[in-house]
Amino acid sequence: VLARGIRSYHRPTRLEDALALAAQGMRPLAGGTRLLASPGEVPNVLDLSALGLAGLRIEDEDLVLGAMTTLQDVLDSPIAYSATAGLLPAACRAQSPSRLLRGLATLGGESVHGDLDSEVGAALLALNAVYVVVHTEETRESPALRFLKNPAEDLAGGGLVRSVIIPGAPDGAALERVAPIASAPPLLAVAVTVTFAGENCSRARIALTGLLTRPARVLEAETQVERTAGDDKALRRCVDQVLLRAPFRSDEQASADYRRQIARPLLLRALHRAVERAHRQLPTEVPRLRPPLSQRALSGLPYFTSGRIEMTVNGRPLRAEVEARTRLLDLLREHDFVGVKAGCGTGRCGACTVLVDGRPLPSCLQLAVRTQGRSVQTVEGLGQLDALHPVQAAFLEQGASPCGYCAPGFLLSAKALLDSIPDPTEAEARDALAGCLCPCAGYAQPVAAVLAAARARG
Amino acid sequence: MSTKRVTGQGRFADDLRPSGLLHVAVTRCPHPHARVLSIDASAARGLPGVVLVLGPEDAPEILRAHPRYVGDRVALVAAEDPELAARAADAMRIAYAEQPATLTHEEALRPGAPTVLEGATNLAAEVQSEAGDVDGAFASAERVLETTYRLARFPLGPLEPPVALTWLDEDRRLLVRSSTEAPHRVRGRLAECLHIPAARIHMETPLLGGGFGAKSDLLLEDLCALVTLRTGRPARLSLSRGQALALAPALPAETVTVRSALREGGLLALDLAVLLDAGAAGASEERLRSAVRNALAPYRLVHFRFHGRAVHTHRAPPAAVTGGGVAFAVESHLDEVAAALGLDPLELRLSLLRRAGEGEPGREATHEDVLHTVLSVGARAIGWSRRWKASAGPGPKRRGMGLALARRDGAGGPRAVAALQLGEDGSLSLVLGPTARDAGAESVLCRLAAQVVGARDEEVVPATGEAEFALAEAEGGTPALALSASGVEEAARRLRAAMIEVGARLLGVPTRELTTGSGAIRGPGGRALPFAEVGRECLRSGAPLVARASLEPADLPPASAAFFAEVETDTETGQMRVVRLVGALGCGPPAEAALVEARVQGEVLRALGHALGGSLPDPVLTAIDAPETQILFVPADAPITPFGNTSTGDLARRAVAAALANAVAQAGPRVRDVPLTPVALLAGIDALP
Repeated sequence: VLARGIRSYHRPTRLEDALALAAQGMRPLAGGTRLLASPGEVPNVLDLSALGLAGLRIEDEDLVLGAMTTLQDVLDSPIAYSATAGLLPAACRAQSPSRLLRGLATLGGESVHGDLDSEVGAALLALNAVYVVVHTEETRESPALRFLKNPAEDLAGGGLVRSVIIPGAPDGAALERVAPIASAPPLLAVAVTVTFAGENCSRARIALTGLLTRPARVLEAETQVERTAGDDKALRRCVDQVLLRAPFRSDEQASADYRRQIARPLLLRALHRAVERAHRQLPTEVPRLRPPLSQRALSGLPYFTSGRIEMTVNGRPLRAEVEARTRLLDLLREHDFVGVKAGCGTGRCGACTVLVDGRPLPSCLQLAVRTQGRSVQTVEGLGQLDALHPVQAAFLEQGASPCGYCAPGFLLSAKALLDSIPDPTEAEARDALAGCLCPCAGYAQPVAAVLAAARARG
Repeated sequence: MSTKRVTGQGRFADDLRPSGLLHVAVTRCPHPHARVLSIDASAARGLPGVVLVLGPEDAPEILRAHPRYVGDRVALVAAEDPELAARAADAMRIAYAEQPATLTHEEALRPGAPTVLEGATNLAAEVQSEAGDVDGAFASAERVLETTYRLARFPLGPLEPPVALTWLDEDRRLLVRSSTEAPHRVRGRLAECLHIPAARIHMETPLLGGGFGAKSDLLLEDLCALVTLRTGRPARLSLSRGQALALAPALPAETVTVRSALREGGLLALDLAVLLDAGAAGASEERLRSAVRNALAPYRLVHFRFHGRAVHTHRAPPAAVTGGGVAFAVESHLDEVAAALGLDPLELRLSLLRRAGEGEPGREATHEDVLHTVLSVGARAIGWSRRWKASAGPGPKRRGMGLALARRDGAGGPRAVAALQLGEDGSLSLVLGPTARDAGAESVLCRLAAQVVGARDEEVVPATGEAEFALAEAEGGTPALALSASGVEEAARRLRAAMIEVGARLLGVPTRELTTGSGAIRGPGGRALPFAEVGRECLRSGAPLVARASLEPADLPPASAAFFAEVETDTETGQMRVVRLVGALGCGPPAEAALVEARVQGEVLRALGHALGGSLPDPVLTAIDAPETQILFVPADAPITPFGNTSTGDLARRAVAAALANAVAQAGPRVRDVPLTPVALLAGIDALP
């Protein structure tokens, strides 16, 4: 089914225009991971991608993250590690293990529509983040403590999140979680930061998921750590306060009692780790980062209902008649690029992966009109029978993806990885493939194939 | 694996669409059990672009006035656009009278439980068997151990969503292109419910994007065909992944109780009771029998009793595959017996294994030795001897190792079918069943056929089209690659013999003096007759050369495997991490090891999904969830095909969850429910003395 009955698409380039449209009740479209994946009708969408709201920068010791910064942008930025003691990148990775979804999901979108158990939400609470919310008349700063409780309140009447400010880096931070499997949402996650002034903790922030509400801080617990040296006794008093005050949730996955029970060890571990890091003044570890892809000048359409769009597919121009609701997946398949497979329609399975300007993304979560003027690569453009791309040759050699349905997603994810990191480690290969599912044959062969292709390319 | 799979050229069901498609949407019952009181279709019919609306009175065998599970089909609409069809299906106003429902198999046989199908009770199938003197053994036991294991329903989640396309050809034959594992079964069931001759129905067999049993029965084809027959137009219907996880055939929920009689440090007798959720459909007694036959086959047991029951519930029908519940229960229970007797679980199993020639009449093969071999090879690979050392350590994390055996005979499984045809230019068409093709094995099988016939590799080409389907497996499911290979070998041997006979006639040489090679029949004195001439002669004489073979799964030795797991359990949270898995499979070292290993790795992944993620909405693990998994192929005596000498399938599914539960239990709680969630583990830890 096409995307949610969308009839009109607006892509303003000036914030005041966007605010005017939002005030008329148009639905903001950020990454699209939720809007395009969930049921219900959304007649008019307001694409926020041309407002220049993406990117991270340091301003007066504060980390400023544009609302359209993606979770992957956070992982790819060295300042995101140093300015959050590693907490925000860790939360982005934990919440969204799929490289594909991380490349779409934005901090703004996750904050406004975040799940009950958003680890990014918990991290932003623990980092004392402040949301900058703009309305036609005024610009407001709303602390995460207030904003995340009920974003609709701050946004009422057509407000938009412009940026998220993380004031000053904490001295130590930690994230702990329990989940049935690593890629699943947490049954409980805790995010902790501590900042010291001399011997004593000057500020502690404790946020957790698994509550009846969205992620929240427990202020009474924080004060138990503040003005102490962060000794075990103080930390235990702090945990007692959390267990006393936090409204743990019961659902199909776990009972409130279970969550309360595991909150103690998780909090103690997180607090001890954060305090130890602060005491030892450990520098934040930054993994090897991908070189940023060059930003293309974007030539999107400001307004669209239906008509002709143009893009490049596998190096050739494609002109096509589409509607605002047409997904990139539908457009490509209708034009016989049927190597792009329809899988889940929610971005979880990766079968519909294509590269847009070199970035892998699930084409089921992309409106076709958003790729106006862009360069798209599908599996058909990867290599031909007599001239296979090294990843294709390696997949054949390793017997990966035997049924072939998942192969296009794996191959394009692998190509994007090798284009940015020519010599990936096994962990980097696994991370790059984590957005694609292969229930037929698992991941041992695909991972081996990526590493073999890297070797073959030298 | 063939190149088309990495270039996007492979064509799956939804990749070729007839033009002028109507899109079908289904209105499904939101209640587990209800009766339709009335349907008001006026709003749906009034939408421009809606072409057809049908309800139960139009097709009582396809649409239900008496829906029996959440998602049962009540009405359908066909429209020019998929979004419009969905909207129209939502616009159907249906009044239901909700009925009391039987929601779990455990309540299905209680007095007063609402019955699902016509009949006095919900009992769908029952099997009882007994050997030896079970009551006597229990009477003389020093100790009786009784434990109950529960497995939750588990959706199989193949990547390609179920889809069906139907249209009529110029002779008004019904063409069906769907993502099914079982084209023959689907055709038969379509003929039944549409009341048209099966010969009028032509099944196309596109590539299949995974099945595992979730596509083993009629699911969408009848709804789609109904629209095509009513309108004369092509129609398409698919399920979203979410719908498929809820509605497509899944592994059934099961409850298994095991009682064992222990005496003098040994296991005297076993008494097994199985209750299986057959949902709102039929159930087969053979499936119950094969579950227990396979779970107990490795072991020397004089006294055992089995009572299996499949029961109806108001749930979507499960997949036509044997449940893994009995295997999980037996392999878990054996570890509990070992713990009770103070024995090492590996030692206990070795002492219980059948010896060669013992039991199982008619089986002279030495497969019992294979069980010993897979156990010892797997134990060495995981490092079983450091089992106790590994489990110790400070802090809240505890390591443990566990193992489970799996065995499977082929009885009742799908046949493997192959045919090889000689063309007038000497090239050969190899006709394979759909599942052999979809394993990515067709190029290997073509090479194999070429080798046996004596053709050049490039002259054997996989066939497509109608002939292919005519020879497809009669039942759904995936025949072992080894069986497919044996079928191809047999067909190729027969074709070669027939070609030599023709050659003998043409050359005037006795057949025994002829051989084949490099695309020709070769005789004494360097005489050669190219296959092309044989092919042309056959065409002239009106008898094209075709050889067929259809092999029974029972033609293969039983398949055996041992799975070993090392896990780490966080005793404060119940979080469990699989450190390493080893699978030792007794199928002989296959030449096509990568291809065979890929299949086993996939099955391990799905088994892990069941064991760990079974409570999640979509339990397919990702690359970051999958633990290091080592697959070893243990040599076996029987003749070996490129894929080994027997099946490698359906073994991991029976063993992985038990190996994990046994590993957890070494240094922690015994968890008897699948999935093994952190919640269940922590509850078990808290209950430890």
